[in-house]
Amino acid sequence: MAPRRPRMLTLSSKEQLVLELLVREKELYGLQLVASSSRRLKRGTIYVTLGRMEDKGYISSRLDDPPPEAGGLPRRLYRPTSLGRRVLAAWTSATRNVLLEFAR
Amino acid sequence: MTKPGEWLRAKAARLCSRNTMERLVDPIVADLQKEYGESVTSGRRWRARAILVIGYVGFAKALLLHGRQAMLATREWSADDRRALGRAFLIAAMTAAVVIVLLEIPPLLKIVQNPSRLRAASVFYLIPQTLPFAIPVGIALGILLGLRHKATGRRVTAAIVLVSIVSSAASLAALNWIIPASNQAFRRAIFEDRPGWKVGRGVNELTLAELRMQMRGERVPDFGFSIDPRVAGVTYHFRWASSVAAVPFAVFALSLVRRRSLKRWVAIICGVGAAAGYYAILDIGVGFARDGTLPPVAGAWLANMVLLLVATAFALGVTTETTPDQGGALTTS
Repeated sequence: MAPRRPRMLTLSSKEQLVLELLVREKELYGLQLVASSSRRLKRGTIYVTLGRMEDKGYISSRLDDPPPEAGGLPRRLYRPTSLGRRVLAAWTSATRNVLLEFAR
Repeated sequence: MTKPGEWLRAKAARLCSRNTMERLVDPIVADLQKEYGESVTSGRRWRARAILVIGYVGFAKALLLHGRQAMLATREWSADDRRALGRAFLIAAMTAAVVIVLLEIPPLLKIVQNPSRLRAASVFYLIPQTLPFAIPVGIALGILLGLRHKATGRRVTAAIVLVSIVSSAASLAALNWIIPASNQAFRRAIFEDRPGWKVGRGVNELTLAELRMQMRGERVPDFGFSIDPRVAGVTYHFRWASSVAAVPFAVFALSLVRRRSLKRWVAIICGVGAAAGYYAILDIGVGFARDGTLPPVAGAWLANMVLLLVATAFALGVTTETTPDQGGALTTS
């Protein structure tokens, strides 16, 4: 099998928002992210975004304790990884520098 | 009592990989159950119902988005899958191009024989007419020749079915808008150079909406005469049936290559034979529908039904010399 090319680290605006919220709150459920994003994240897209970010290694997740009522599914909690924090910091700083450059 | 989302989750489990279930489906269902449970406990029944509706819509949207993302993430596909798909699409495009050229030969010959009346450029107006025939045949031969040595996994199968659905939509657009307009342009190019001639539209130059009006016996603006509602009905259903032909052709070809290796000549015979058989049955069906032996919808859809039945028979009777299924259309791995 051919060796994989290294993946370029990218951060979409939605991913950036998710990371900002997770860095601020430490750990959140998917719906909490939707609720705290002032409608910028949608419940139909949040889990796809979270799955993609997990693939990229920006966030990790764990299952919460099972709900007390029988038969319910445990919820999934998301938190930023060290890579996610570094990418967010680099991205924010790069964006700020570009904006400053344009403002000159 | 079943929890909300359990039924959908069970259905999704049949389609999705374990990874997709754990990371996409289960979190959605868990959040839905939590939110719904809280609303029910606090006595807000209407809010609970609204949560269910919004949750189900979100669930469908998430699955669609994820499916599209998984499909487009060709980087995650194996090199073998990408090569096979590329080969299949290339053969499909080349076959479609050859079919278009072959179908354009008779009008070109007429132009050569009678250059004063038929202008060469007018033949291009006839190209859209060939698309609903060229695309399904191209897709069938593309799959049969491009994937004949490859056991197709769910991901490749899903990509092909998606492409055939998109092709069907393109065929429908061509049959509904482009072909009526280009046919009329062709008729004008041919006949309106005669002094005093004004070429009106015929049944083939009507859109689907106008055909529906004719089926109901209503008058179509800018259309001089009324056609028999049965003929209008046959034409209407024929357009729908032939525009979705790419899907049964793709299903037929996939049922042949999915788990067995085909020799090249067998693949070509199967593809050409399927096309010949399909269009013969279509012709017979439409004929029966026109003379009233069959209802218009049955006559027009007969060929699609037969091809799907043959595909099902192949799929069920397939030998079990298989390689393991590779990945899924809805996987995240």
